[in-house]
Amino acid sequence: MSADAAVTPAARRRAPAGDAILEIENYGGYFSTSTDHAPTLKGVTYSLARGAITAIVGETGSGKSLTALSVLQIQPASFVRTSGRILFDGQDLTELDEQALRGIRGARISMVFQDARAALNPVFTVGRQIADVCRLHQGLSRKDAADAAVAALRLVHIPDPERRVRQYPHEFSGGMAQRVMIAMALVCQPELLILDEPTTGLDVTIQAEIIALITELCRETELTTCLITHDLGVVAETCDYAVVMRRGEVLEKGTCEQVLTAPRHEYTQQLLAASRLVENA
Amino acid sequence: MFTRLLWVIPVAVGVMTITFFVGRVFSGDPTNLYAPPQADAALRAKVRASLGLDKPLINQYVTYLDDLLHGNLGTSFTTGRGVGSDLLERMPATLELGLIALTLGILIGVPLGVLAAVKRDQWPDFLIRVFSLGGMALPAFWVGLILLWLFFVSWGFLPGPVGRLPVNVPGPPTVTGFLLIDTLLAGEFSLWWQAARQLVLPALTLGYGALGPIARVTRASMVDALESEYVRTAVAMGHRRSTIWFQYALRNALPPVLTMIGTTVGYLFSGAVLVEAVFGWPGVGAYALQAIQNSDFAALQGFVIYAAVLFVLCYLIVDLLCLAIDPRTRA
Amino acid sequence: MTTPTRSAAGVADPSESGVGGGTASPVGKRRWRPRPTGALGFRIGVGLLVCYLLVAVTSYFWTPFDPLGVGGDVLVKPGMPYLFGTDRLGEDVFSRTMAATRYDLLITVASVCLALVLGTVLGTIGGYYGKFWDGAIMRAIETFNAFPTLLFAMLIVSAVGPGILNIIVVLAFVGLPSYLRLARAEVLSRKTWQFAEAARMVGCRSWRIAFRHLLPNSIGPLLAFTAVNAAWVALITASLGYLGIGLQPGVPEWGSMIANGQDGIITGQWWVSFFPGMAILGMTGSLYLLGDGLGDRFDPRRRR
Repeated sequence: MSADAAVTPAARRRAPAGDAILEIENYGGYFSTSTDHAPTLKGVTYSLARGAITAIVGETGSGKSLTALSVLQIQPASFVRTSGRILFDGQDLTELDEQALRGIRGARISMVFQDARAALNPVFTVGRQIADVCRLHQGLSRKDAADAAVAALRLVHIPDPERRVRQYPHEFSGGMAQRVMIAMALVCQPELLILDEPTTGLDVTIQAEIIALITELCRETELTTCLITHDLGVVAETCDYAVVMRRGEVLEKGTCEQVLTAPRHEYTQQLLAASRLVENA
Repeated sequence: MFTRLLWVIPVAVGVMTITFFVGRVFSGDPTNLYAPPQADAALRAKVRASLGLDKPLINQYVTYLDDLLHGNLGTSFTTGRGVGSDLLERMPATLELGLIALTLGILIGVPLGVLAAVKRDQWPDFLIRVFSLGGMALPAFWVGLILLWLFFVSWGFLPGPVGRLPVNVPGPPTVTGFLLIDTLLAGEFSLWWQAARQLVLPALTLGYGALGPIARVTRASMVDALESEYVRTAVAMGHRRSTIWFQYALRNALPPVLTMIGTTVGYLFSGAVLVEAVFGWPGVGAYALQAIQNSDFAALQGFVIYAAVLFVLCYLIVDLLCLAIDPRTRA
Repeated sequence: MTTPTRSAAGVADPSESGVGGGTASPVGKRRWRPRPTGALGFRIGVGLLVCYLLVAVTSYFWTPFDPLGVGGDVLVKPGMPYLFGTDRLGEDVFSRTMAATRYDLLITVASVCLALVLGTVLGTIGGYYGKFWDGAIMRAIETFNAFPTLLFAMLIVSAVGPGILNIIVVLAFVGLPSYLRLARAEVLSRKTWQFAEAARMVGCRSWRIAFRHLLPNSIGPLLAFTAVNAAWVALITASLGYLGIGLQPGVPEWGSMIANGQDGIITGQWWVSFFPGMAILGMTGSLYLLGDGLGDRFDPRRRR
């Protein structure tokens, strides 16, 4: 992530002016297992513009992942919601029942997690896992689903997909496994893709490749993307909008340029200074 | 994988050695058991020679091993026949009972364990945990007696502890030795029903002791699997609960369960002795008990060796199965 | 991260459950929340075991009737004055059950302690000193493990003869391999930890490191296993008693009491066998609960 290219990456086109596909309003809660029940999330409010890449930035403990998990309603069972709601295309996800949520997960909203090799089932082939998702949401036949799995691997630029589709997760490197996860997340063409620190723990060069892949895929299909990260370089390189969180609160949000070049909050300024990104005047 | 197969041999040899030494070193001079009471010194010496007891211990050991490897488990002085043939004759009874008990243990224990894991910390979990604790904490003979008291003495649903068939009822021609099969093969359906009724209580007793630990291990293993990252991914992809539980989680939870099933086979041998004593079952366990009561050490030795070797084999099979179902180890 | 890397356990089956209190009250659908139940089991286990200990000690000084005394009313149903009824010889079942507590408890505790100490020492040696000792000990263990436990106990006890001391030693011997393996595994996994290295650098001698530093950290899981193993030993003791192997005849022991009452079951006198069985259940059950509780406490993955 070169410093000069930081704020005006060539890959970015003009910031899309879409309406919000996802709106998180005043979301708050605490963990029932904590001794004092101190609020872990406090009035989190942000929205994701349709077709744009939004970055959620924050350090460990900021609540960015927890909020993301809440979108799909897969947050830990010990988390108790005290306020707020999450609107997806007008529907409040916190009020939906399990069956409706299952229809949304993987089909309309997909999520990619950090440790891809741990996130894939070790006893099933990669192809089987992707095909399972297809058959679940699209009702494809076994053969069609298998073909879709191969196509999905090809989409994420995995070489020799026909052979690799029959391999197990432990036979993939970290970067390759992450590609597989992305393939699985995109195979049913969701409207919203959430990536929770997809590159943390990977080698730097691999990180760049994965980010480039994500950017390419999202731009091509105008997929709304939510990229959770603590790496400001990534934010600068790829994102249209940015939301900064700390300790369960949203500190600032706006277009990427705005947040990175003219941060209003002191914390954001500290983050920028620490990341050694050079701001364009 | 081949090395694991090879391991059976030294362990089997070790088992035979230990049994030999326990027998020889501890149980004193068996001559007294074989020779008539008024035998004089000369007769005693003859008996000793015929038993091979006059040779040094090492020679005895070698003869013993040699005998074993040729399938000669010694002679039971109670029945006068070879221990090997004794065991062979009584094995089907115990095997039939044991297999049914094991099947019960697995078919009931695994689903209960899954249910307990899925409904963790709620009342089904609590009930199942209490139930499986009973299976582990209660002595099999007591369970058998209580079941007898309830179903035979008090309510009269099921027959009493007279063995595999009611008294004075002749069995079918022996094909496999398994009554449930042989009666069907002979077309005698009422006999099948009688044999089945005799089987119910002993099988339940033995099975209860098997399902306790199996349910427990299944629960613990499923809980681990359900908390894993790949299950979270499966949930995030919108999979149905049944898919997640039985395909994604259970497959991964199986290895410890399989190992426990292997251990259960060992339990079934021990349990057989107790259950056969309660229900008058003419199996290998009862044979061992008689051997003890009659100080027939050869018979007891033979039984212990047979049980140990079988146990090791079962454990080996389970080990191989565990390897087979985990793709990570196949490479 | 605030987000634990484990998944949402509640997603497996979100069902109705109560909601917790807190600074702000929860809204929305009620979802199941995890509640710790291990602590309760642990307390019940400990409580029951203390009761058993008290009963055992008390039985030395006082029982309602003489546990060995014959000649009372034969086969009386439970009630007053014979709380658990009497058996075929006219002995009071309740008193005998109390007295039997001494033996079963003593045998269990003694053999478990013996096995624990010996097994831990040997296992620590094997794990720490490695190579030859380790290999030799492990091979022996695998051979012993090939015998189903009860059968092995039967074999040896019938060979060495009856007697309490014999039983204790035999059962300790039968249980030894498990402790050994556990201690060895624990020590092996910690051998390369930082503090062992530090101790080595400071110049501690090997055995000090093994016993003073590594072992105390391995104690937790070992203790949890001890409770479960004790339950096993209690069951085997009762089984041996039932089969008539081991203790001298006449000595009150739960297993042999059940055997004595066996004929009674068929004729309807259920109490002679029933109550000793419940006594066994109480002891083994509480040992298992204790073991579970200890296991939870020392489980490194426990949510605090």
